[in-house]
Amino acid sequence: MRLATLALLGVLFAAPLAAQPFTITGTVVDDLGDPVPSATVRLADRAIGGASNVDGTFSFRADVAPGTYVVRASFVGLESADREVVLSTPGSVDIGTLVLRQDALRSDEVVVTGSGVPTERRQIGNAISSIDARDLEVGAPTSVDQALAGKVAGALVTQNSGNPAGGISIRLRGPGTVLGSADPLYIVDGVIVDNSSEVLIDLGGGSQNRLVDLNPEDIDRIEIVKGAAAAALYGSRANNGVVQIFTKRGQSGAPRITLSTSAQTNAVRRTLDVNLAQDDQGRFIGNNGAVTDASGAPVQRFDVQDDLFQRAYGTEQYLSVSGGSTGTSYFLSGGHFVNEGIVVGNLFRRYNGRARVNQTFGELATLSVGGNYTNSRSDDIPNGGLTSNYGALTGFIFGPNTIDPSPDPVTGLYRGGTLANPLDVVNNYDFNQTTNRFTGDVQFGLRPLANVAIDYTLGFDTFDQTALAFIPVGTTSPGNPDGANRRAELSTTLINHDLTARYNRMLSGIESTTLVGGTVQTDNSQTFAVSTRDLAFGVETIAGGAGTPVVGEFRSERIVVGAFAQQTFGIGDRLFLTAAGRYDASSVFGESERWNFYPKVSASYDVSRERGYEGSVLGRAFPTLRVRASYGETGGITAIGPYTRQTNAGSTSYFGPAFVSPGNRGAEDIRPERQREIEGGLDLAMFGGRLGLEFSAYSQDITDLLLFATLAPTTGFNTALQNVGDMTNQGVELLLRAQPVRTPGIRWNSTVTFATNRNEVSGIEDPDPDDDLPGAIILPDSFSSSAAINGEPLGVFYSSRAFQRNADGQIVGQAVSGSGRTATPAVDASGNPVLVPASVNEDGFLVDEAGNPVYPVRGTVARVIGDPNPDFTASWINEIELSRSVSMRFQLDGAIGGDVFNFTRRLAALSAFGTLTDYQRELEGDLPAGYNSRAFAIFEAYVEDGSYVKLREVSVSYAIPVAVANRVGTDSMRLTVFGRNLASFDSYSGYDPEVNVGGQRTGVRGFDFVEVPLPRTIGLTLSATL
Amino acid sequence: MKDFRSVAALGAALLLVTASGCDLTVENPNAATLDEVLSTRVGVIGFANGLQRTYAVNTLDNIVLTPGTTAREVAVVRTFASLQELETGGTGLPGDNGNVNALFSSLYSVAVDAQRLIDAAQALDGLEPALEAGLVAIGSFYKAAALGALAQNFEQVALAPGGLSPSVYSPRQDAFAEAVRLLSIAEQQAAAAAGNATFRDLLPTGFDLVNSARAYRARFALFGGDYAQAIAAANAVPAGATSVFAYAADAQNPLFLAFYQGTPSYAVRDNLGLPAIQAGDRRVDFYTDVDLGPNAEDPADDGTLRNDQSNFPIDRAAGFVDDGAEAPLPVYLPDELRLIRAEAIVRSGGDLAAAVREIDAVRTATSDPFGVVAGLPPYSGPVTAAALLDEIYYQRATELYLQGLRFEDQRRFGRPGPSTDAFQRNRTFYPYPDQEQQTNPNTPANPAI
Repeated sequence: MRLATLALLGVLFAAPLAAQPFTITGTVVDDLGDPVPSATVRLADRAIGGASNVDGTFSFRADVAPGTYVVRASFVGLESADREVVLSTPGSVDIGTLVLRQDALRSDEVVVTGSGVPTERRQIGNAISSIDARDLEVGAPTSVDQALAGKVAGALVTQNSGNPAGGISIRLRGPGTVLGSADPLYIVDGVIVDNSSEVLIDLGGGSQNRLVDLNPEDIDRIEIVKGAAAAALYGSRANNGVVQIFTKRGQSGAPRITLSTSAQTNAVRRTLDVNLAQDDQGRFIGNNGAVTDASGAPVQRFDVQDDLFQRAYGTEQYLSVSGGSTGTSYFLSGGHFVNEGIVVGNLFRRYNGRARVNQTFGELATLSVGGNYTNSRSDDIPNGGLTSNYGALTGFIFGPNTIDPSPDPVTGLYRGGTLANPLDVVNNYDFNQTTNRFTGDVQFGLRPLANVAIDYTLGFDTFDQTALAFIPVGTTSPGNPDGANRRAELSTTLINHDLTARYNRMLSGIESTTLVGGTVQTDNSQTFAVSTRDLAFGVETIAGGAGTPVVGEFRSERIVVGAFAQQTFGIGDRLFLTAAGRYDASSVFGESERWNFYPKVSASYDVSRERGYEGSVLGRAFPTLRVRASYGETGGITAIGPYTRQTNAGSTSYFGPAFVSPGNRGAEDIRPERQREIEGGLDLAMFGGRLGLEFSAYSQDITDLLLFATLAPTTGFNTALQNVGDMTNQGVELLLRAQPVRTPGIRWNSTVTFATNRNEVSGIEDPDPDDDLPGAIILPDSFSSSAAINGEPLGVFYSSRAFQRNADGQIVGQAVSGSGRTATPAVDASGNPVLVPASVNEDGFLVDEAGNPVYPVRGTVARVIGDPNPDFTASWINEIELSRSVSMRFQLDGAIGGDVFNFTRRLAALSAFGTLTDYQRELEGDLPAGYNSRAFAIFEAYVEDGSYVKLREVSVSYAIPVAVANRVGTDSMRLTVFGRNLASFDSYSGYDPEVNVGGQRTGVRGFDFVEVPLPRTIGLTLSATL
Repeated sequence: MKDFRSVAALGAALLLVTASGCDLTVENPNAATLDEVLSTRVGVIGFANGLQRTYAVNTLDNIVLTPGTTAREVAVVRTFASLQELETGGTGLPGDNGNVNALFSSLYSVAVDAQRLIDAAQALDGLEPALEAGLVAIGSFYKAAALGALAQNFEQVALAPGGLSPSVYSPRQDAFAEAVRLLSIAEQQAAAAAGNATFRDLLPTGFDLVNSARAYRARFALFGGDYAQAIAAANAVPAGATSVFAYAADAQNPLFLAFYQGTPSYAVRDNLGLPAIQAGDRRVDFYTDVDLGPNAEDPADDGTLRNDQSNFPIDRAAGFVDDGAEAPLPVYLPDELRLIRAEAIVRSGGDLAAAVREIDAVRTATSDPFGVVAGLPPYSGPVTAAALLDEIYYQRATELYLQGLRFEDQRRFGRPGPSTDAFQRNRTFYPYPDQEQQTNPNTPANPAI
């Protein structure tokens, strides 16, 4: 492939050039006459141009043959404007003022994701979301996915942990798989990048996702396509949607230096109320009800959260330089970001450097070479108790909080409780992860003819991640008294080659664009890990372990190849029809099922460009009216690993090498999961373009879901991998952009998003069709509480640990006999429990119809006890420019209707731990004796409404007067005060309804087991251009 | 149109490059496939090793501890639901009980793998005949051991599991007969393979395949009611011949782990779980440690440890299970052969005096290859079939403690039960696991209890 490219290059460079130098100048203003800075001004259909300055003026050099050209100015949110210019005599040409009108629909915005070629949004038959850099920079986000929260209709962004590098999940129109990762495919500057969430060391459930290596400051814009209708060209990798990120590029001209520095502080937003049970004489009551402990000393109670959470600080420095001369432009940047976590000892630090050089070879060819190096490090504190139980908050919740968490004043040793002492964990454990990552790309474009373009992209992403865990000798963690350690390394390399060719022509009023392309993608990943136990004192390394080292290694390789073709017809500049197909193969599947075809068709009809529309009634109401429809198919190869289809023998040893049969029977004939999506939409502009509405409705059908079907043990296998399941996602998305106030003094931009998604699983085998229970798969790492169940959304909480119900389905509880500490469950004369109708009150306790507590009774039949998937997500973003120098912005976003399983509260309720107020109420007699131990057995008692609306981002920005800025040697300076997650409006009783101890796992959502809450962040940024 | 043709030609070239430039077959460096293992010499030899490991490391604990709990040899000391259900027994033992499922699944896994080994050895070209015989011997022994163990716990057994169609069940007597047949093959084939060095290397130190096959043949013939064969097979084992399952740091003794690793799940019952012990029987102290003594902090403690739920008195496990994770476990105890002969003689209407001689040999022995010494005087009770069977049951219960035999023995000797009594089995047979019931239409109906 490389040879072919070079040959073409040679031929084309030989073509004669007849260019002459011109300099084109002018000014870009909006409809109020205000200058538009940073607008793109270029020769239409050419890679020649520049950007406007702060005062709206622009000047760029064009080396072109004399002739008539179109200069086009464009800016996000504004209609682009064209000006014809005749270039004859070399020299400076002033084309005057270009006026860009409001365009809330961003119809003229050029996007590439999903269509493979730069295309104006209005020509595309499916919804495509784009986010501009200035929407991302507010609130100094750590990572790009964090910054996306609330900004895209149909994207559910969940920050699963409040750690400074806490993992983040994005679901675009719901999950597209059950077994594999349901996060989208990420492409950065044409490079398919790794966003895995490998758990190299066990931090209790969560993990980082590797998108954290990308500095959000470097991002120019993001495009998102959410389903198969838009993403078919990405073939078998696109079942969960595609997020394409474009980083900043240089503009030719004198060097432009941007410098920014910011400081932030983070604090825990709310802590849990711990058990401070006292008797009427003000003495603390122990968990056994006594006011003295075994030694006769008075019981004390402690709140270790005071010592566990800290006010944390962070800083960020960022420098970028861009510029260039004729034909050459460059962009260089460097960043340093460090942020402490709100749990003592937690820290994330990132250094990164990025460079990009663009070179044009006349009008014939363009070359762009970019690279980014990142060194990131996290100092981790284990928390959560999903997969391990030596965490800090885990130790806190297991309590009991009658044990003094501070070190013994005499020996200096920490006192252990049920689990590790939290302060022992934060002060003595050492868990950290370091990643070195390089991502680079070479993009070469050829324009052999005015209407033919050939583009080649080489993408390269490689990183090494080293994770270390160290639990010292003498720890209070049960099971690790002599210490334990682990070193795990992950090396990953992704390479992609993409070659496309496109051809435009006019056929009697019909504009035709033909695109063909091919891609080869390889992913290599290797993990190597060693764990030991029984450490020598003072030694953290593996060599210090006296125990037998446990070594693990896994190598994985995956190859994807594909070829695609796409044909678009633009009829009369108002009807656009596209048909495309991708033929695709992946090494993950066996030869018979390897090659798959993924088609797509779409149409966009711009009604408002029909003749006579403008003057019509409809045209006066809706200056723009567009309808679109699309259908597409994609595949899913992420459900299984590269070798999962095989029946792989286990390798072990028994006085010599030994092989054993595996539990799972593979199958060479399994197929990739397939998504079929149909989408329709309507785009409307109202009030003279000041209000734009984008509406989309979609229906996804994901068939051939790969699941492990249960086999009879007499087969010799336990499970078999099969294409057995189905899943649907259906929903609507709404995006509303408005300018409620628009005067030369004040501009108020307001954006509202709203999205619903209803996910439903079906096709899971029902082992016993005779009973009432549906086919269900209990998902791993959920304490058997999250499930995929026929007829229900993925990840519902499903358990036989539900409340007892009577024949009418009404929850019943057992009446209380007596009261307070002497209460007992009431029984009738024949010894049967007295059951009364009951409900859960707003404090989360089971009460009878009079509102008095009754004993919970566990039912016998498994049932759905909660659904973590929100009914809808919505956001409201406001930007208010009060004057040329002061602007403010705030964003509210929320997810409504999702449940959270508050495992934290459940644990603390049990008398052995008794850390929170549930048990305090029982000790103080407000709940009948034994209430909590009854409730503990019932998961349903701890499923709470996790609806939340968060004040996600707030910022106030002030442009320092130019005179002042100039005095300190800068062109401009801006001061911004920002806040992130300042407030959460929810009724959840735990730390934070948004976090999930299940991390980025696909089906384990809404699971709260002492995961670190999202901090409240306040900061200050000073940026300057030189 | 010329332009279009050139673009189309380029596209076609792209497709060709794409399609031909990459080999999409990626070998798995992490594991061989089962087919590769079973079709190569190295693989089949390793598979034989793996089969031995699976039985000794992952199956033996199920064979001993699950029916051991049901037959009250051991008590559970953790609150896991599956363990509690097992100790509750009766109708409180559901079809999805994890321990019963593990017993069922691990034994069928051994049986299926054993047949895979036999088939692979016979199908593999170029294998020397002696080695092929040895591999068939290993496969036959373990398949027999698995089928025999299944027949001790379930009313019906699938004799040819692992086929393409759902497995068919047969009465448990047929499983004992099949086990006996397979063990004859194992003995013959092992003898034929004796000269093969590769085969000898395959057997772990201390594991005597020929005598293990004879001892198990005697055991299963007895269970199946073939007393002549039981006596003949027992007689074929030379006096004092021993055989052990061997363990190592990376293949640990599962019974040691069950009683001593981390927070253990099981404890041994006080007095071996028997209502009465004959005075001076030294085997109680061999198999159990003195109990841990009174708990000073608990005035109610009478000096006997009890497990929480059932309140059974418990002791520290000793015998073969407290010598560390690498200590071997006997495949059979030599005195089992004497007790098999005694029982077979009595049940087949033979010379009761001969049976008494066998019993006395167990009672009065002063030494034992494994140190299991009763230290009792000669039998002095009535010499009737019924009395001798009672005595044989007692001797089996004490001598063969934690051999995974008491559940079968309680039924065979007509001991009282099932009941919730602390010394009686709580089930007659186990239910077939839900996983089997729901995926194999041939699964028999569950026993009532």
